[in-house]
Amino acid sequence: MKRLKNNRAQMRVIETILASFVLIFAIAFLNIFTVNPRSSTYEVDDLEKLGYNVLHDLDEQRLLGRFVYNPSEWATNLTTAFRVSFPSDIYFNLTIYDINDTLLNSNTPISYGDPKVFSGSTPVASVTYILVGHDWNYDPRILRLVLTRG
Amino acid sequence: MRRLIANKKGQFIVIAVLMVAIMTISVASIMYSAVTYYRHERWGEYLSIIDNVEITAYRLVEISLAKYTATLDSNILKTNLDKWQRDLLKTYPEFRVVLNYSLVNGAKNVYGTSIYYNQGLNMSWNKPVSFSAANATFAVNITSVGLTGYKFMSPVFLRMKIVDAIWYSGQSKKYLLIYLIVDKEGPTPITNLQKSNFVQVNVSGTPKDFTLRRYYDAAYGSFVYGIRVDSISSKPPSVGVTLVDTRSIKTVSFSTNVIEDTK
Repeated sequence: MKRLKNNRAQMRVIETILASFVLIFAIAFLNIFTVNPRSSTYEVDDLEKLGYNVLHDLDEQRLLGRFVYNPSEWATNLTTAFRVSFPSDIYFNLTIYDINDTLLNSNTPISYGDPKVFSGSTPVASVTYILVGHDWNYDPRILRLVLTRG
Repeated sequence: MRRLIANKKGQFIVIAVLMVAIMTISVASIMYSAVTYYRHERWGEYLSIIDNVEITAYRLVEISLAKYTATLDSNILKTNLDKWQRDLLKTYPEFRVVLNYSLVNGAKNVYGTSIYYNQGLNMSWNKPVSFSAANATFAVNITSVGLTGYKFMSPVFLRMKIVDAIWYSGQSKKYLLIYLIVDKEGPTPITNLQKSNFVQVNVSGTPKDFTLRRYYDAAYGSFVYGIRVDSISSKPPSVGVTLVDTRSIKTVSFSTNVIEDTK
């Protein structure tokens, strides 16, 4: 009975509870900012790097220009080149525009994977790559590659 | 209850913990901003843009040189770069990428060859060592984020040397062998040319059919193309080779120094 009336002890318990709340609140507040390696931010960064590297490699091998400036290769060689270059769980969709932003491959999708995946909740990365021309001709093409993990 | 509230020692601990929490959050926020500055600034995206602009500028110089060697239009590089300057503003509208360029003019010693650039272009054909060359310097600014002054050069070069032209007269089937060394900027030997790239081989001014071999020749210390032309009954006074490489850049070599080998 005497112990129950010990105000100092009660105060210690209350202090400890309040201090715990403050610390838990502080840690929870910091956790809002934390970006762990599996977060969507890193996923998009990784997909962007992957997409750019594949476009750059194909361009260095002079395959990209050959395929992009030849519409008959869009559904065949260009799509195959991307499918071979990306891991099998990466879905992609490539759109080709001219310099006036006119979509050139509206009738020939250059893609792999279910189109619904790109509008879903999974992180989607977008990469823009430019080609200035082919052979002797100045004729820019803007490539927009959209990537996501299936 | 009043006594509890009046216990100032307990209040002090709570206030101390609260202050420690505020300090922890402040320090952590500053640390977080510092270590994630790279991510906030989208450096990866800027680097991709600069890299792509550098590649496209190089490709533009390449296709301009290809067109120059096909049409001899000496303004083609300037015309194409002016167009690209305007069009580049449209391609990355949110970043406002500005490309400034200057064409190399005057005499330069490039890869051991003296080149006199005019409007960034030059060629020297119909000699034992022939070349086609283009060069421009660029500066890229991404004005929307204050990144300015990334400079680079885009030298494009194709050189073909007739290192030997030997007429073999000692055998029943007399034939001619032309040894060529082909290199590009660097200078880097070009090793992937096919027969179709050598669009014309002239012997004494007449186009001839030929067979092509390519190999590393220790005697020349280089990768060599050997062009063999059969049924050449007499020592030819001259040989000429026209090359269009995989970039569509053309050059023409010509030599009157044909050696006879009687073995």
